Amino acid sequence: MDYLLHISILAAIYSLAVLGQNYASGFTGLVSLNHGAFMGMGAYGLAYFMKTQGLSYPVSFFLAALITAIVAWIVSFPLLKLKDDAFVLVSFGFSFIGYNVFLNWQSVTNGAIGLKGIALPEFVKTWENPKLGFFIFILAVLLVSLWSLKKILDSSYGVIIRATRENQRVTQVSGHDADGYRRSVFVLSSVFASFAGSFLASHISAIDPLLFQYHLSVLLLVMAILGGLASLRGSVLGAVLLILLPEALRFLGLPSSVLAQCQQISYGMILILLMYWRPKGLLGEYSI
Amino acid sequence: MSLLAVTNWSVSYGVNKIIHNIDFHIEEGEILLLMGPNGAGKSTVLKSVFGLTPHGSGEMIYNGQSLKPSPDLMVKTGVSFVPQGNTIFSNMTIEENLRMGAYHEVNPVTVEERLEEVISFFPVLKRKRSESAFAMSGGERQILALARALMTSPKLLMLDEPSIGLAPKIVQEVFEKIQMINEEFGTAVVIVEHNLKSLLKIAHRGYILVQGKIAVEGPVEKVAQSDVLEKAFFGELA
Repeated sequence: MDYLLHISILAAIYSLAVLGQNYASGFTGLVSLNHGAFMGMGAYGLAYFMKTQGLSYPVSFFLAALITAIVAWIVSFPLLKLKDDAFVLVSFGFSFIGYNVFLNWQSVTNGAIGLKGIALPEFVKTWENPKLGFFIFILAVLLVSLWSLKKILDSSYGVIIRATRENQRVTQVSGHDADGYRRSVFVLSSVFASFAGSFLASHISAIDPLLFQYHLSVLLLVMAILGGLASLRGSVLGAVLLILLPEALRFLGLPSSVLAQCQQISYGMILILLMYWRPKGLLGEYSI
Repeated sequence: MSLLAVTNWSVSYGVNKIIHNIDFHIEEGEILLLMGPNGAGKSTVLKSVFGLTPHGSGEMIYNGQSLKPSPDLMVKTGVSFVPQGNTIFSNMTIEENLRMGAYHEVNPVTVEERLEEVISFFPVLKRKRSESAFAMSGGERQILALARALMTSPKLLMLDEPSIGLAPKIVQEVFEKIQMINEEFGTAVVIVEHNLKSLLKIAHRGYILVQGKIAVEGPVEKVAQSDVLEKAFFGELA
């Protein structure tokens, strides 16, 4: 039961992060490889404000998201000057900067050792099974996020952000501030990643920089591509499948040292196969 | 009073000055032709007037008001621009493409009325209004871009090489549509174009731009007789 609950919580957390990833990469065409760093900011932000500053869970949670949003807003200025491959590469560069900040900002992140003892929210501790309460809470946040994004994407704002993905120049000559729209999407998508990072920190209770290395950003993008770019349901499906896949590999009886490598290889293989046979992913409407 | 008048207008890309303190104006309801050899700065003039490229100095008066151009402001004040090249949203339907041109209009009734008016003006779009724009031919794409630009009922329509990449027969159709837009809606049109033969028949005035400066201006008959363009193309003015 605990194992199933653990997997379910991870699936819900990653679904939330992939929603943010897909909002930027799928719906708006901002193929970002630094959302892993935004998850890290959410995780470290929550841990720092709760443990070091003694703030409550909700305050720490939203402060972490606010700081992530501000960083994303600042990062968006150099990033949005770039297009296509250059955008991807520079966003990847920012994920390395994020990792190095987590590793070296000792006074906040405790360096390579990381931070431990990150608690669950107070209100789930009253549950007989706090982890079950936490899962239900994350699920509720995920459902509200899905509903909110659906509303946003169905609005005229949603039509315009999709138009910026299609043809930024024509969106601009139609009188829309294309960069302003893209910036707002990038910032909001970072907030989803921050929420997911904060939840992850609470769930596993200990974080270190390796968790938020570049491979997390790659994993989020692979999840979004697998489920389907520009698909909300696909975001959840991609996250769930790629959380379950490594768990399925456990049943092959491989030694643990080999198993970890197999998991990484499987992500790469999935990406390669998708690009050849189904670039739109399982439920997507758009291919890179 | 001119619909749009620009004085002492200059544009630079970095340290390179592309447009050198030019003056020009556009009258209400006229078709104005902007000609010149490659690299003369014709497209840059249109982009800077629309606010896509920051201009260095100069003043712009539009409809009696001094403006600092930006795409958002220009669309709101009644100027539409159709740039060169890929000018549609391929993954949207024709109707969605047209609606993209009218998102500034807050009154949905006005949008619907305008949509019907514009789509009736272009039978090819009316027949395919629910279809994806992806499968459209080059000529149909250009017609769609023109139609989208009309969704805001512009007073001034700026077109950057609308015939580029089109077959001669299609070019003729596009130019006929431009003339109809001018006559039926009273829209002033500025066209940057290399394909001059057909356009000289429908344009009222013209400017010849050479190396970022206006070399000739006046009624289109006068501009057509000038040898400046020929000399510029063959390098004698360079």
